[in-house]
Amino acid sequence: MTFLKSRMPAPAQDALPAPDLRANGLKLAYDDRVVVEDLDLVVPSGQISVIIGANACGKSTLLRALARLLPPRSGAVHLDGRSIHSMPTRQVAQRLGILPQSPVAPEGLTVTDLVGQGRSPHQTWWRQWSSGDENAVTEALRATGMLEHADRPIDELSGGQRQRAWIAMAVAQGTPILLLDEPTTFLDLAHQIDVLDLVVDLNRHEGRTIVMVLHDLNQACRYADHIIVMKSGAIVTQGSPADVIDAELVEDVFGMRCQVTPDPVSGTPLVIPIGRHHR
Amino acid sequence: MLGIDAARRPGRATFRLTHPAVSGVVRPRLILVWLTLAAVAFGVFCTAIAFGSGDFPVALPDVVPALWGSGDPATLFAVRELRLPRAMVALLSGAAFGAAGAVFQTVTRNPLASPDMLGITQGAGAAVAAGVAFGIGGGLSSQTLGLVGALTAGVLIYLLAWNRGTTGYRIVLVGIGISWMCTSLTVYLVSRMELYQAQKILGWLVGSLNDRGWAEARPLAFALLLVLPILVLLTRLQRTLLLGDEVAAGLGTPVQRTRLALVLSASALAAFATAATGPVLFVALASPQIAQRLARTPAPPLTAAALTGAAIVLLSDLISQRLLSDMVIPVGVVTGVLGAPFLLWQLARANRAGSGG
Repeated sequence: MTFLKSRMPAPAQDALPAPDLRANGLKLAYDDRVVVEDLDLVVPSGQISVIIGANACGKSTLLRALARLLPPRSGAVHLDGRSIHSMPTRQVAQRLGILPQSPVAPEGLTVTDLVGQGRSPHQTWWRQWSSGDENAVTEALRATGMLEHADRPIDELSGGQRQRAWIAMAVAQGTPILLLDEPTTFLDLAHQIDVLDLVVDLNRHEGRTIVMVLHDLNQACRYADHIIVMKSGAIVTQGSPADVIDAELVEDVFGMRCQVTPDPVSGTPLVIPIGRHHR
Repeated sequence: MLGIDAARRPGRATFRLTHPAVSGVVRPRLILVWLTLAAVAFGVFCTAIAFGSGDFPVALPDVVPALWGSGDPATLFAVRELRLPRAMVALLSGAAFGAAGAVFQTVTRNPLASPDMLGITQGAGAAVAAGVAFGIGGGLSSQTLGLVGALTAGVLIYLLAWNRGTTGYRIVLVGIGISWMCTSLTVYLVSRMELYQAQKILGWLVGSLNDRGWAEARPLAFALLLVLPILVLLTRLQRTLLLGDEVAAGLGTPVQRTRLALVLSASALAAFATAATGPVLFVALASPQIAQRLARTPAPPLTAAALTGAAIVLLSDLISQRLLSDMVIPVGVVTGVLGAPFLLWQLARANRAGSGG
């Protein structure tokens, strides 16, 4: 369950300029239902940003829009100064990776084959396995601790290993920006921490900009450099967790009474729900 | 470069040239399956020519020289004029059905999706039945009508499945709807027909290679030469579709355009094959599954599926011509009787091995 942290790869994108991802006046909707209206956001470069909010507040919708998976009704997402929907999708994929919630791999696909797919935006039909691809895949397997499972089919892995294999695919893509939609869903607590520690490694050792959606407030507070709080399709507040999270905000956003104390391990805000049976 | 551990994965080998800068992953097992299937298909092809319909005996060793133009005139005539055209139709239609099935099953991520489940074959049937019933396009052959009907069904499926983009399951559901619509239409038309007309259409609807020749083989060969290279070039993008639309889009695959190209290509292959032979059922469904289990790949392999389809149709046609001495059974009957048990046997074996269906 521990990773080979001592052998983290060198930053893969030394030569590339720091990524710039932002949303301007974003309006997002499914059919007639408007989910997000007039939203502005600048993703802090080189940091881990975590989006939190109650169910159906639009946080996954926002993430999908940032990844150009959902075209906005109005407004735009800009990547390095260009509107993301006017860029060739392959070019976006070389700068920005997205791991959707609970992806499913076909039966029998091995970890190496899955992680190799991460190289897709860098390949052409005549150049499908360059030495660059080879190195990126090996490094991604090593960084996620999946080297020893490289030949196993995905469907034989435990939930935690499976999620790490998918993250390895996104890592092999070699993008300076990585978007993760609830990467800890369906994992037990130990594996949740495992995956989040891996995300921190990717940020600290490789300088990747991370944006992820998380459900658990305490994990969000501990792992976020920058926390983005959403309520009914709008950003209520954002900033460092210590500055932003207090009992009043949690009650407003989640409709839940709580106490907030410093996390005894990390010193970040720890949200303790009160519930109906205590006071 | 083979010193890097990812290069030494079992079941995959990599190659890399510097001039020109070409590289890729090869799967030895898949190549072995290709070679084996090609050998089997070629063997059945020659056997079908040696023992095909007609009374003139041709010795098996004489077939290959005769194909190249050497042999006595009678043998040359029997091989090249009488039996080769029919064997070519069997080979090409089998390959087209197999490849079309592999693409549909990959695009929809559904092993039950094939042109004969999704209404493309049934579209051909309805068009041919309408032609016979109303005498429309009196000059048009059932081949042309079948082609038009199947292509119309393919395009309809794609258009009706469109709702700000298509998804695999919508294609399957819409396809099944189209299939039943066309089947109902065909049954209605047949019920209104004169007996001699009904006999004619029923003969077409089981799929047959009787009296098929170069007129059927040529357009089919042309379609395969045009479409198969497109499908081979799309393989790289198609692989990412297996991970789901959102992952594929995230990896830079133009999901909708890729799926449109794949669906239209596979529909065209199925349409040309159906136009040539009528609906030879089960080949497009079973060949990709059989090939996938032989090659142990995560998705139906295109080339192996085409070779499997060719071998199945050739073998089925040989059996249909020679099983009963006094009559020729339509090939579509044999493919079902022969292919179904083989697929069931493979499924049973896979389940015992613990790798599931």
